[in-house]
Amino acid sequence: MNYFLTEQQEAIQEVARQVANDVIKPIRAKYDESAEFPWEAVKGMKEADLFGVYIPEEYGGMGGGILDLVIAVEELSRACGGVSLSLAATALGVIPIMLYGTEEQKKKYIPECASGDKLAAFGITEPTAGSDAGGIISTATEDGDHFILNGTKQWITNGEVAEVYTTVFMTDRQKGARGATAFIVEKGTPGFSFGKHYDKMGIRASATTELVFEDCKVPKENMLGKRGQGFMVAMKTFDHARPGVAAQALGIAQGALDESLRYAKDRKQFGKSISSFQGLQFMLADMATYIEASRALTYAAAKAIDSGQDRFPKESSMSKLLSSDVAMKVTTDAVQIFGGYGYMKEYPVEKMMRDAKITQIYEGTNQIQRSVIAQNLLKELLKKS
Amino acid sequence: MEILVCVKRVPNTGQTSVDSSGQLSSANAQHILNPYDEYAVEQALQIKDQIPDAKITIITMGSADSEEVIRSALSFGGDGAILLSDPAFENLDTFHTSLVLAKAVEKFGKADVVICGNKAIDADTWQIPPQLAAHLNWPQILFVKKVEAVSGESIKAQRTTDDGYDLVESQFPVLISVIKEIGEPRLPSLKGKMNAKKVQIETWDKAALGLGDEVAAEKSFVKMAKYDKLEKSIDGKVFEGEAPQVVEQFLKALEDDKVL
Ligand SMILES: Cc1cc2nc3c(=O)[nH]c(=O)nc-3n(C[C@H](O)[C@H](O)[C@H](O)COP(=O)(O)OP(=O)(O)OC[C@H]3O[C@@H](n4cnc5c(N)ncnc54)[C@H](O)[C@@H]3O)c2cc1C
Ligand SMILES: Cc1cc2nc3c(=O)[nH]c(=O)nc-3n(C[C@H](O)[C@H](O)[C@H](O)COP(=O)(O)OP(=O)(O)OC[C@H]3O[C@@H](n4cnc5c(N)ncnc54)[C@H](O)[C@@H]3O)c2cc1C
Repeated sequence: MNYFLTEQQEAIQEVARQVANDVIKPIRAKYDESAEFPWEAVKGMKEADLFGVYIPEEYGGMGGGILDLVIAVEELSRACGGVSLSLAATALGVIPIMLYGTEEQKKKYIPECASGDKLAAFGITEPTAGSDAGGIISTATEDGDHFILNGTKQWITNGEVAEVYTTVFMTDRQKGARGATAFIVEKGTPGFSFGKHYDKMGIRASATTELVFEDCKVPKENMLGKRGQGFMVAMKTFDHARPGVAAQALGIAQGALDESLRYAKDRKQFGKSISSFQGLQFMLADMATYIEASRALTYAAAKAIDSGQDRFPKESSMSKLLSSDVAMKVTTDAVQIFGGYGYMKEYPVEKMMRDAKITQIYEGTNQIQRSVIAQNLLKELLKKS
Repeated sequence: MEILVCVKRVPNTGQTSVDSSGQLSSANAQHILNPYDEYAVEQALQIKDQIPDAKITIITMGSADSEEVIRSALSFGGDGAILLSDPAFENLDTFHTSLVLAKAVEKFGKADVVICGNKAIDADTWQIPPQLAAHLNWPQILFVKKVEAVSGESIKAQRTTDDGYDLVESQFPVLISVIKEIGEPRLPSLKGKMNAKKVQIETWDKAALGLGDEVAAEKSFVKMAKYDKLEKSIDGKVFEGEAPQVVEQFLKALEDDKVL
């Protein structure tokens, strides 16, 4: 389908596709197996200038928006949804700085992430606060020109491999939802260390790590946004970043369809190509249709964000919800089309099925997305009446 | 420092055919940047990695259709481009092609290094780089597999020989031709691709190069009388089955054919 992309967006698509095919595809199985961090792929994405596609030129980026990010992440995820996440999660760490950073913070942190020289991460989740982000218990205590951070952030993507961390801590617990504040913490800050490295079902080429803060002293200039705005920073960030997760899901699904089509054409049973059986044709047709529908919704949500319109949590959540559910269905069907071979590690589709699952969970589970969508529907109704 | 890279638009050789008059036809073939020239571009970029203010200009002789190939060469990173195009340049032999290129290098004037791929996949003559250097009366280092050092005025390179390599140093200006061993071409970057869309391609015709009737297809010393398709001499064998059995059968076939 023609989405009337700009010349630059088409170039992003071409460049990212080449990185996906030439750099990522040959190594995806290796990193899925070892769960090591794929620095060689990061180098390929960096040399292709893909880390800065959504960042304004004045901060070293290519001047595009969320749609540019979506296009890059989709193409990279077609080859591997784990590798592509190092780029997408860097965006998740950078976007809050773009949205709430002071000019000094933007100048200091964004250009080195735009070039891909440094990776970033975003950390809010804690052992006892997942969907209920408001339940975080890590604290930031004012101390002269500094804040002292204490607590643990769990399952943080790009943990340890990133240099720049955007995080949220409680500064004023008695104020409830208005008591949290965001901070930028650099790797190497005394009192900031890394705990557990998690062993995962999928996206195994992505690093997921525990962040440990023990009397970690950060200067006040590292406060991101105003004191008490921490949850606002997080929510706005998610509103902007969810189409990125949708794009990851979309790419994984498209990759699975690409593989399924080729396989169905080649595989013969009962003396014929299995692609001649209507049962399989209908599956392929459904896969392609659902993928195109999620692409259309995701691109539309990204365009709404890029148009500068004020609030778009509903559209953003819808794109993530639909694309991730489609990715799970499509990758499961891909394994089905491959039959017994699909269940084997020699073929890429079982990995795609494992990789797809996370897109229904992080940046808000799909139950939470449905809650967001429903709350917004009801809010809109109230406004109308 | 100024680097000129010669590139050629070639048909994808798997898609050419021989027409009824015995002439090669590439009308239905997709056209691409000669793969060997990607190494020439890569070599230029490797020099630029070391000497960042080096300027790279892509030059090609060909029809107006060559723009896509020029832009694809530029997308790896390049600053300018020149297209040499004139009806009189069609179907020239290597002598006259290299003459046209030499005139263009002279008109360009400031080149310190001219880099060529060592051959093109279509005609496969390997003649353009040495003939171009000869027309220019420049030193040449052919079949370069590694540039060991480059400065603002000279280059030191390994020239491949049958049993190793010669280390050759030359002052500028110099022509080099490169082979695969210089390293795999990098992937095009987004900045390179966007820049490639913006670069103005200069077009020079016969008159612009100060050439007259001496360049024309009928003045060519070499004419292609007739092409013949090579009859397939051996049929390939396909081994089917499970991997261990296939490997066993394959090894046995190699032994039977006395390859092993
Ligand atoms: C691989 C990986 C990478 C991650 N990366 C990051 C990261 O970079 N930064 C970061 O901050 N976090 C990250 N996370 C955390 C992630 O965002 C959380 O896992 C997610 O928000 C869900 O929280 P939870 O796991 O605690 O599940 P819970 O909140 O305990 O949810 C458990 C189940 O209950 C359901 N549920 C909970 N509340 C409701 C409700 N109100 N209504 C209906 N159903 C509900 C959920 O949908 C889910 O099905 C990552 C997680 C993983 C697994
Ligand atoms: C872990 C594992 C253990 C196994 N254990 C055993 C065992 O102990 N003994 C044993 O004998 N086998 C065993 N098998 C093989 C298993 O039974 C086959 O994988 C299964 O029958 C499917 O065959 P296939 O994988 O060749 O898929 P294919 O037959 O190639 O099917 C590929 C796809 O095409 C579809 N398809 C095929 N034909 C048609 C049609 N006519 N109409 C519509 N759709 C069609 C299939 O539904 C599937 O989606 C095992 C397989 C696995 C993965």
